[in-house]
Amino acid sequence: MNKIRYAFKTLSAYRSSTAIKILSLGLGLTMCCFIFARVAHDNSFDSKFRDPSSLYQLWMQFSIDGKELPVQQACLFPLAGACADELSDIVSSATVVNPLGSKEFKNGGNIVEGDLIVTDSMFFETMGVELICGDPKAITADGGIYISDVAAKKYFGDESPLDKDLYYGEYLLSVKGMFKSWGEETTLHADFIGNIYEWCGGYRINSWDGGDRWYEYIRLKEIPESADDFNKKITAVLLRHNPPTESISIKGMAAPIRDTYSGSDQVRHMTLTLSILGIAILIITSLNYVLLCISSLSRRAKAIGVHKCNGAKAGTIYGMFIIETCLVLLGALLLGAFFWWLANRFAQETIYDNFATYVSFDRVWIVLAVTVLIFIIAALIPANIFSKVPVSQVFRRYTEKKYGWKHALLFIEFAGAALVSGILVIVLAQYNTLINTNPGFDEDHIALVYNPSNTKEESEALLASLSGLPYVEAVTKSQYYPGSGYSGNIISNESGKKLFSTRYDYIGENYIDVMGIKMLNGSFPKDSSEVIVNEKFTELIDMTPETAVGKRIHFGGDPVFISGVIEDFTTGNYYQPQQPFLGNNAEKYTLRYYNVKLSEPVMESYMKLTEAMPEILGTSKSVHTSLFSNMKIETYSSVAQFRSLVVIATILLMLICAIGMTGYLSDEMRRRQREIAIRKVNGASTVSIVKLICRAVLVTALPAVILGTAAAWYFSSLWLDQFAVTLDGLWLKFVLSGILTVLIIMIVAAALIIRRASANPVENLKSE
Amino acid sequence: MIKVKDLKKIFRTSEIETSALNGVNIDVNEGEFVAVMGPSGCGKSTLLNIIGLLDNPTSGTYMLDGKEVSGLKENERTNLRKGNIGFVFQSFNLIDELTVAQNIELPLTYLGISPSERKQMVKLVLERINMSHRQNHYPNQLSGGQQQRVAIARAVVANPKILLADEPTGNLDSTNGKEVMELLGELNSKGTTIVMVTHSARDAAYAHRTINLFDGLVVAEEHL
Repeated sequence: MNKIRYAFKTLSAYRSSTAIKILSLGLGLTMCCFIFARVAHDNSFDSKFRDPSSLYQLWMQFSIDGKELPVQQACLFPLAGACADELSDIVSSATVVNPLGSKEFKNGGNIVEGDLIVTDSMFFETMGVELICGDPKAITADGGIYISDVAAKKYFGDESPLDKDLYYGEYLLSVKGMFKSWGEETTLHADFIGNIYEWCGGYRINSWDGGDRWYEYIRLKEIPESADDFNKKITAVLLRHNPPTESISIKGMAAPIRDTYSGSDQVRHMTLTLSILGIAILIITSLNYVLLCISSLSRRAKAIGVHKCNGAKAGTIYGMFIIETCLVLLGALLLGAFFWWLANRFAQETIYDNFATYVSFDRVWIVLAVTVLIFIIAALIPANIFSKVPVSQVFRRYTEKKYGWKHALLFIEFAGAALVSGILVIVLAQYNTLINTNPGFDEDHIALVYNPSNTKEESEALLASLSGLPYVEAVTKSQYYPGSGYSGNIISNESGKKLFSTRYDYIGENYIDVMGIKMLNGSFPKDSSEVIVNEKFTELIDMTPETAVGKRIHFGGDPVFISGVIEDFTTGNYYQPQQPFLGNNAEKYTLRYYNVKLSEPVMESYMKLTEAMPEILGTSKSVHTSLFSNMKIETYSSVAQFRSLVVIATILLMLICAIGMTGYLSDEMRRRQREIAIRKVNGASTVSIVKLICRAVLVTALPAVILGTAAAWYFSSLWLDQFAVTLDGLWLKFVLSGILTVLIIMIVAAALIIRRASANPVENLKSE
Repeated sequence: MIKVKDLKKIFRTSEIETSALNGVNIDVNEGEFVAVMGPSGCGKSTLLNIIGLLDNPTSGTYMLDGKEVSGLKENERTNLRKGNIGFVFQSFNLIDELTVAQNIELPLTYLGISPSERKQMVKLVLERINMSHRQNHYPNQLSGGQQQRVAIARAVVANPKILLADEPTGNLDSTNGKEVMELLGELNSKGTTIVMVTHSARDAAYAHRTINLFDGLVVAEEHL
């Protein structure tokens, strides 16, 4: 009890120091929890299915002429079923899913909107999804649809959703069941489940010959001992039904569904970088506390001596410091809870899509784990040092011998600050590169209008209406759009040898002009016998834009002539390398997308366009319009969130370092006050004293910043690996980041020193 | 050289106000050796600090070499002090981490003198105080008398016009104290103006004149 009383008394006697300790621990602890909550979130996807460890997703990998293409999660339709039949000793059930994305239904006058996946009758059994009410087999009947409990609650309240009518356009569907939602942290989000045969009947279902667009899942009886052997068995199933050709072969593989999200390149890289940031902040926060404690050693040694002289054992002193740290940590936790509340209320969209999803009560273990780790470092080291203070020395200037300790701690803090600043500079520059890299078309002026269900006449009328708007410069149509990733098809040479898979689109005659894509050679295809290709395409057929025009190739088995070559533009996003592209003349087709070139000022024109669309299309149709520039920002929103997290982490870490440096410098100035006074008496100015102390800080800061910047280089390079388009002048940015970090350290140090350095030397000599 | 008129110094804290000097008038001529005496707390060291431009008076005038310096800012005082005024303290005030030669060199570094010239000047002054053999030693390897000789060497290495000594023999035994006083006398005989604060009548006997302070006022002056 006495120990607690002494700890309270000490904390209250050194109020400002206690407040600084609580603030630095609170900031660090909160930031660590934010970061580790995100890491935990990204690693907990698809864990709400029943027994997720035995639920696997199937993957495929094509090889063309021995060259392996990227592993893809879209598989041939019959693969899952064949695995269930032919590997029945391992696989207990299998299902095929096609996520169709966001859909709008009408229930009376209400719009019911949500993500639709379509699947087969084995879905509930295989995925382990609970059907709360309804018949699981009714999914095979046409016109049936299932709704999640969350969507049902949202749209129908407490009413039973069963047998509710939902219109998809003119098509009537009836709710046949309600399933338990498997949450937001999933790669297969669904508000509605429909019949795959009903919704995708037009595609090549049940074919081993192409149509690789299905997501497939298998439930295992037991986890295979060797993943490689299991994958070989899946490949054998694939090859049995789809023997390899001279140039193309396929491999099959399976991986736990929980790895689908966390194993993706983007998530892996982000998780790694965030983990490093989190660990750096955790260590620095803890060591900063240690530094503040050690810096107060000279001040507190006398009190420790008095305790010891009066019978306190080393264990008693140890216990007092442990209790003291516990109390400070408690204060930090309360402060952290306040920051948590602030972030939830004011800044959630800055760092997370949905704060509650990331930071929920079931992640309270993260707070506990971080607190325990900080406690282990922050409490034990100072308690150990303080309890060993020899009584014979406490009435002297005891701090002298702890000089090396303080420098080591300061070194780690500076290195951490440089590491985080280096990562910050790269993340900022990379985001800037992603947003500002020229995509090869006029993204700033073009809006996309999506209108899927129209006839040729309606399409022509819509084109005419859009063209007639005073703020519209031109309109063109297409089946896909830049950034969509497009669909793919195989290109063969004249002898029929398969060369590569190209992205392709059906585009209007004025598409190249309206989109602002540069024509390098030739002309737009006059009919379906001709195609236009990009530079990358010509590279892959070993030609140039000059020589490729007039060349005959086979596109999906049909012979076509290249009529023109265009400059490369972004077909997908900057995570992928430039893809070959082929454009078909679309005059015969009714297409889904209308690319509208707007006049300046673009935002004003866009607002007018969105207001005009219901009038043009009629209020019964839902209209989706968006600006390409906004779509691009949306594409890289996860990078933007990551950037925000790194910005906040860097600011906090700098603040924590500044707090640590305050403790260090105040102790250092106290330790050297006599020397400073003597120097001043002998002619040293305040500036020269500031320089003297700053030089001592620089000796620690410089190697620490070099080390931290080198580490930032390494980890940033790992993060940058996920991008196909990366920033220029990487090394220069690291040099600048290092210089900037040193400058900030020196400015903060000078600001902290200047007051004490300008003190009257007489006072300091008197106090000796 | 030093003209102090109606000099007052008041120390204020949030609770009390202490008057250290209550209107001191002193003149010190060039080449003079003046001893300031008086009981503890009479304002001797405060007066020395103001004369040495380490502190500003609360009121009154202080003319140094004909120039009013009582209202100078800290930087201006530092610049004026450099090379013109040397200090010797009772507790020597050598920097423990620096060698004898580095301690002596200290004022020269702040005067911007080149390293080679500094080395030469330090060598000369070390010879003058017979400490050449100890130039690479640290203060804690020297006796009290030796430390004070080093402190005096540091105070005079830049050839200041004024040397201010605050009880220079206070921490020394009589033999070492005598050595130090003889060194100060020798410096004075070569033209250095010295103002020395002391409690010791024996040390004061080395001066040309003594000034007695009491409660912040000059109460007596005696030419020796």
